[in-house]
Amino acid sequence: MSARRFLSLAAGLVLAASVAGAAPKAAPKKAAPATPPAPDVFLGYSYTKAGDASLNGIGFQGTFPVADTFRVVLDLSGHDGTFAGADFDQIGLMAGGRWSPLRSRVRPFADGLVGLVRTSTSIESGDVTVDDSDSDFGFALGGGVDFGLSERWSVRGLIHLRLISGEGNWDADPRFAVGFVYRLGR
Amino acid sequence: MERSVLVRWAAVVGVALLSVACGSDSPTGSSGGGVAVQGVVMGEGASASAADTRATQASQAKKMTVKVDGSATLSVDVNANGTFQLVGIPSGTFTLVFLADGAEVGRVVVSAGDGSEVKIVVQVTAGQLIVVEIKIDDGQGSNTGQPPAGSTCSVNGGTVGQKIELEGNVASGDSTSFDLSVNGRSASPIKVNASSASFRCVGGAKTSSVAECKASVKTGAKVHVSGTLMTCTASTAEVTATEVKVQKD
Repeated sequence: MSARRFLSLAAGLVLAASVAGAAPKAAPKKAAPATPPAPDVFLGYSYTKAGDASLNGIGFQGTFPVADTFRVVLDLSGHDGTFAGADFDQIGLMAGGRWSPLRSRVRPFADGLVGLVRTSTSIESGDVTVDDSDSDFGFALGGGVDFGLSERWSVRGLIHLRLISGEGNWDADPRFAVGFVYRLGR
Repeated sequence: MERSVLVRWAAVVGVALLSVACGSDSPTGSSGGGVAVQGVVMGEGASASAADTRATQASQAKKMTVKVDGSATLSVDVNANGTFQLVGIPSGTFTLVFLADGAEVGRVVVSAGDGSEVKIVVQVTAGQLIVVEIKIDDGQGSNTGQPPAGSTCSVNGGTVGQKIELEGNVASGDSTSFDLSVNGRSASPIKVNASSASFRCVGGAKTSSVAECKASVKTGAKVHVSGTLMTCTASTAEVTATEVKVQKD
């Protein structure tokens, strides 16, 4: 990642964090009572730009509330696609925390995750297959919003910026996902 | 309260998106015309076999860079997943130079016309560069591994007198001399003179002696050849091998 890109990214995230941090302070103490925090699961379409390759796939998330506005998140994603004639498969397993200040119908959230991204590359040249697998450390920062459809079902859209280390470089790969959330428990 | 929070949230998302958009890397070079190169660099742990065996590779510490020889601006760092992209390369014959932490690991000579898109996959192993596949889309919809019309060498990425790495199947011959089919780099088999080469049988082709290994070089065998491209015309090419690795007999 170039210094320019890194600096602009850092500046953007600092600014974003400061704006986000201001939100709860301005808010009154309690919103209208809503459903109590409960674990939920998400399944949906996911897209990521991994380096120069555009990959499509699915995303799964499970979250568990540990405080009124804070949850732990487990994020599993699988993407695939092709670039320059080579096939790419990418599996990401990350975990972290999510801050979600509202329990209304529209519920924005911000999260930070850390984990591993495993990328497998393969190419068939005639009868010969050349392949390569690589596990890279990375973390993801971002957020999104849940829109409640019913007591148990919601639609979620999320954006992550995944910072992944590999090939002596740090990549900043955007990831978008959209899908359905099912609220567990009572 | 909720509205205020949501407005702030929208601002957060906007700022985050803006930071990505403003800071995003664009491929080096001008985007108006010329040749575009999309490539993948596979690492040390890559395996080659007829079966789909997987190799695990620790993260490479070396920073890979690809540049166009003779250009001060046409250079790009390889992404964490091995991909890279260069655009605006002047058409004609140019050389891609692959560097690991600034040290050259190999060169690939490419000939491509204006508006062409070159797709190249290379493997860096033991400090050497192997061209796994190279395809040139001339912009007319044709996609070929062959050099463009007018090129004097039938092996794309090959230069007479320079080292070359080839992977393919033995079309005919034996361990002394054989014809090698290398899909993606040459339409016709490449003649390999292996009379003074060392032989190694690896993976599923492992043998207990060199003699047995040599005997496994027969039609259909998958081999990796390291050597020097001695001659190359538009229809024929000859390589003198220094090492032959038999991957599957």
